[in-house]
Amino acid sequence: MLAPRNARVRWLQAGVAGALLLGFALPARASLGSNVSSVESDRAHLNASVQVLRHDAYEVHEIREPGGTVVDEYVSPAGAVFAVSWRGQFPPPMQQILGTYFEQYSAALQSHANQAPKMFGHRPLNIQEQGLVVQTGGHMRAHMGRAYLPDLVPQGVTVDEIR
Amino acid sequence: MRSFLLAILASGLFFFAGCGGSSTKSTTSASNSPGSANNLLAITVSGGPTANLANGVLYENGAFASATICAPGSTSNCTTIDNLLVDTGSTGLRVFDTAVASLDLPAANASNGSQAYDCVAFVSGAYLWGPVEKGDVSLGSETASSVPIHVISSANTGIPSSCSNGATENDNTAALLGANGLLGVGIEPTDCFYAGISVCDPSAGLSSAPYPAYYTCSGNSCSPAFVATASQVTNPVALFAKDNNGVIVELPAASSPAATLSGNLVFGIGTESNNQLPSDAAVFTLTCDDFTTDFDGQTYGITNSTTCAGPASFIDSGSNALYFPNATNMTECSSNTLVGDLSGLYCPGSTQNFTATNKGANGTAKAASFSVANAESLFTNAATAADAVQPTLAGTNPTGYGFDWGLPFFYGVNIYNAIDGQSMPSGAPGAPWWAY
Repeated sequence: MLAPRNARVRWLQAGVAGALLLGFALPARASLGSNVSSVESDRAHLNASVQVLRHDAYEVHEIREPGGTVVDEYVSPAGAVFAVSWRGQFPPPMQQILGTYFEQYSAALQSHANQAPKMFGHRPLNIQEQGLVVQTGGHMRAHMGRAYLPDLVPQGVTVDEIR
Repeated sequence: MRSFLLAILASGLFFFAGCGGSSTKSTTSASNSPGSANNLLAITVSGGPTANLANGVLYENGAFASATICAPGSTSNCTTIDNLLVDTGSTGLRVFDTAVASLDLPAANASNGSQAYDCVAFVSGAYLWGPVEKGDVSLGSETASSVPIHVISSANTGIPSSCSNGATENDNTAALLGANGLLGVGIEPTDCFYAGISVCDPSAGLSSAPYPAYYTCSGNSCSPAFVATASQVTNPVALFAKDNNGVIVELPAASSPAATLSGNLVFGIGTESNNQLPSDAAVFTLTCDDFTTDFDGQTYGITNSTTCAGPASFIDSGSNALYFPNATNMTECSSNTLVGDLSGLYCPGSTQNFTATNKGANGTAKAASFSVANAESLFTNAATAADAVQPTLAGTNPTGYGFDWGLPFFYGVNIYNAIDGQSMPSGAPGAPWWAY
């Protein structure tokens, strides 16, 4: 018989309950490259289900997906989402995460799948294109990844911080 | 009886002789001799089912095994599927629908009573989709009854977009997957379990079903659905009547490329004379199903156990190489080599030898040695290009990520994988954990 880890389930439930309490469906989020209308209003809107972590050169809005996957949006002082990272059992909804960059990502996945020589196996993804980087790691039901726009990363911020 | 005792005595002596050697490797071939053991499944690193086809593609560093699936309760309505990838990084048996169609396996249902479908994503973005059905699964001489199995659909339509999630590679053929299926024998009992709970089970209390995970479908429209634990795609080992608390992957040493390598998947830890935890084994308890690797002055491990943030490290027989961040600045292969695009793999000028230290949440620490050769050389040199066993193949994990100890790590190192929630031998910590 498996003992439930109650604290972890309460943590998952709190995120969802908070959003519903405020009358919102699960948080509408700003996708990669878009502008959070203003950092202040985004925080107020999503406060119950989003944890905002301040760093020197950017803010991180931490959002929890229904299944527990954590998605971090990295927001520049100007309010632009320059990076998104995620970790959890289930990958996040990539269309919502990537927004206008989703098609470019999809096309890159296609050419990645078609690459020769065909190499089998669970290889980490490493898409490095003009203006878009998408990288993943982990294994089935243990996903981590990040997507960022190199041109929008604020001065002094290294990509190592995006994870 | 006598020959059985002699085998045990002989293996005990071999074990004693093997102790006191290198700190990085526990005994290997000692426990490989089957004797009269019935808890073994032969595994081979052979290149997979596509290797010998005309213009076939080799699956390097994949360990393959066979399973027999029967309609529940039947001993005649059965099929044996070979070349399943032995994957300690995933959970559950996944086979193509064409292989089991004649068995007419019964459905496993979601909580609402409809046929359950499962969706799993690889980190590459590729995915698998199809119904969950129940079958009796035999691995070697051990059998589990009515195991929920992922039956991979050969159809390419009707797959919810939240499952494909932007990817176009649905690995529903051997040519795409490189195997006839997956034998997921990892450290969780079902493919939704994690840290003792399954969020796909309605009793976990989530207000909506997580995705991409389980679905129910009406016509061509499928939506996320809750599925009770008993109907989730299950680690067949966890349902054995005995030897059900974990697996040991035992492959002999290989320091240079070889055509094939053969060993055993051993069922159970501390339940038989051939699966005892050696006294010199290090047992690593886990954080977020990961551990920590120290390498070149860097620490690669989870830094926040609640959110699971951090450069996690893990062991995974389903990874076909060692993947780790380029801390020592090795040359990376180009996308334009003589054999095509090898970007993501390492191409150092000469073979590099390294040592890292793996650490568990419980403070256990043990060294691990590995070598990295030039991948372009391996694949262009006629002597090694057709070898399925590539011990020195390695590639990058992006900066900010950790170590993925893939199959090369298993060559000559017995890797113990203990399943979350199962009973452990006395003296061993609660599962999940790895040991070597």
